[in-house]
Amino acid sequence: MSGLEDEKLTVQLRGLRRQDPPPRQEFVTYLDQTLVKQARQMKQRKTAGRILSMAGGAAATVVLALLVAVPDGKEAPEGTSSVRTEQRAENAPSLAKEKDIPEQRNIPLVAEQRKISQVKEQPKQKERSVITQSQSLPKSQTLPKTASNTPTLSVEQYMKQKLGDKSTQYQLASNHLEKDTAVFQRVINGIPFADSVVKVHLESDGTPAGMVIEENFDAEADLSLFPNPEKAISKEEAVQRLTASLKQEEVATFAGYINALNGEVLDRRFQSVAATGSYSLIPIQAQGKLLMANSDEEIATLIQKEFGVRIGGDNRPLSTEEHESYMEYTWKMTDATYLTARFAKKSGQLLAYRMKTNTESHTSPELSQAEAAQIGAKKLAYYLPSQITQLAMEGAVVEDSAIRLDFIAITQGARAESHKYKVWVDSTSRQVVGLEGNFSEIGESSTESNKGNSPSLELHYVWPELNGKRTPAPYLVYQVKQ
Amino acid sequence: MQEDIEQRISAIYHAHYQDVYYFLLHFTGNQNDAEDLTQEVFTRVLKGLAGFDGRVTLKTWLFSIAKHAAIDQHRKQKVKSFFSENWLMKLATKEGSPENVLTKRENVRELKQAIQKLAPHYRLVLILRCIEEYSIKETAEILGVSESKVKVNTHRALKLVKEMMDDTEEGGFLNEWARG
Repeated sequence: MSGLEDEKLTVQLRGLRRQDPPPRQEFVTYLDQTLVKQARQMKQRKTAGRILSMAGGAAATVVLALLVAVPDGKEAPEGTSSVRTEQRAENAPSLAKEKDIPEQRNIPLVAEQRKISQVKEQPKQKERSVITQSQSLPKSQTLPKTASNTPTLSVEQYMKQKLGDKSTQYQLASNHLEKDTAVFQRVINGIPFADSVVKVHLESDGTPAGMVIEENFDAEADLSLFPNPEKAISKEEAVQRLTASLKQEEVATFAGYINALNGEVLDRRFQSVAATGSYSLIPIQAQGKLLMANSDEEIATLIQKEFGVRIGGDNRPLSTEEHESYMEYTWKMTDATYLTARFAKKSGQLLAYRMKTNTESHTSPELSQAEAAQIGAKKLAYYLPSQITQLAMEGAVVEDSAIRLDFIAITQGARAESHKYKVWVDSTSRQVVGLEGNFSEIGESSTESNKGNSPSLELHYVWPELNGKRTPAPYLVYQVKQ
Repeated sequence: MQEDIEQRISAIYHAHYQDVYYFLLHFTGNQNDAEDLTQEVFTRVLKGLAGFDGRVTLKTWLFSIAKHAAIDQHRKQKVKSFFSENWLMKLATKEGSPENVLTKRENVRELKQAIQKLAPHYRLVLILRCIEEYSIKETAEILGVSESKVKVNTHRALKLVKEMMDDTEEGGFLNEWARG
């Protein structure tokens, strides 16, 4: 492409910028109102959660006090219970404050609400969940609708209204995680198809507020492409294949697949684990070393000392950028090499650093991915909180002359989604030339223990894309329930 | 911070909805999909607002959410046709003779078709760099890749678009999805 043609094309592309019609005004207004409404509900839920936990704490205290005071059911001596109640009531706000947890935790999952209402009678409350039975959904997978005077649609009715008869092909996903969204998966041959999903957004009272359909149109074209589930290997055999391919401690957190037709264990990118060895847990001894600095001078000294780099001149950064929560400093080291570091404004803690050479040349790595992972994990371990005992490698890519490794922390046998890291290892010098991630302590809520000797597997259809192209047919796979 | 979340989300929405919408429109080539995804993006923004720590600029954060939403949608949806009638039929009319208007429309249509045929990573970089005119640094941050990668991919994406448009002019529009 000549320079002139290149420029012409660039001008044409720039011309597309605002050539198209803007979003419909009614949509703009609707979304504005919806967002404000959702924000208000979030706020109300948070407030309600606080009040409930305070009131709940106080009420529980009264009951407890009565039980303690009257163990055999006799009336308590006058004054006893009131004194105890008053004492506890004084404490209640502080107890409630300790329980000032994120709002989501105050609101049970839709699935949890369902379970509660089926098992026992609902306590009286303003927004009571009512179970509706539906032919399309199993009894254990129905969703709430409101019991208010205004008639509102249940999720099933809403799905029926929007999708017609096709709505019967969808089933509430067993592992949907979003609190205010009901996620339905299409079911083909009795097996959930992960690539065809309907998400119904719910108001706080369970009323459907809108839906997003994420569909794979290939499924419309030819259902015969979907492998026959009768040909699937048994769960027991799949577990055997999995445990034979991975280390014992890797099984519970395995995020890949087992091909249900041939038993092949595949990583998240559908590459054979046996062939690539790409799924691995790296045990570490985290040392929790804090890197703190409070001035340009201190930062430069710290980085030189910690990462073995040499900053020339008087340690003054080439540029300093102030952001809302952090400061970013850049030093010029050689003609084309720059070092950038980010420090938290409040604490002065290092958040990230990266040394880069601004050239367009791409050298083929002289370092294997496995070696890079070991080097990166070892360096990272110095700065990680001690609760982290392992790192799971989620991916590796070549970036310029370095290999970038993506890790996630494993603690108590579970993935800590809040603690992900990027580490860059120079493929020639084998030095760590960049680190980024969350170096703070891990809260209890960050992980859910999923230790277990025998993994629980689920059968799914997935339709992978390999190298940007969808495979000719979907895969029937087992996945570990996380 | 939680107290003024209504004002915050409203302010963010009003300041950025058009940018997000156009970005998604260029990616999907379909007004309905772009609107749906815009809603998805701002819903995710609302949910994540309390946790937004300012390590990247707000706009970069918004666009990386939009990028993920677009990729998610692409991954799950094989488009029925390479270009959207919806989008293509709504081309703004420019001043000029009917022939000129027609030619211009045809060029724009071809250009849009070519963009829609690019693999997602090329399409994203082309939209951000060449249409929305983000800097290399901003684009790299949004896409989570190096600046050199942005340069290389922009160059390759432009080259692919040019090739596709040349093919169209010669009457042989390559019917190949996910180039590169």
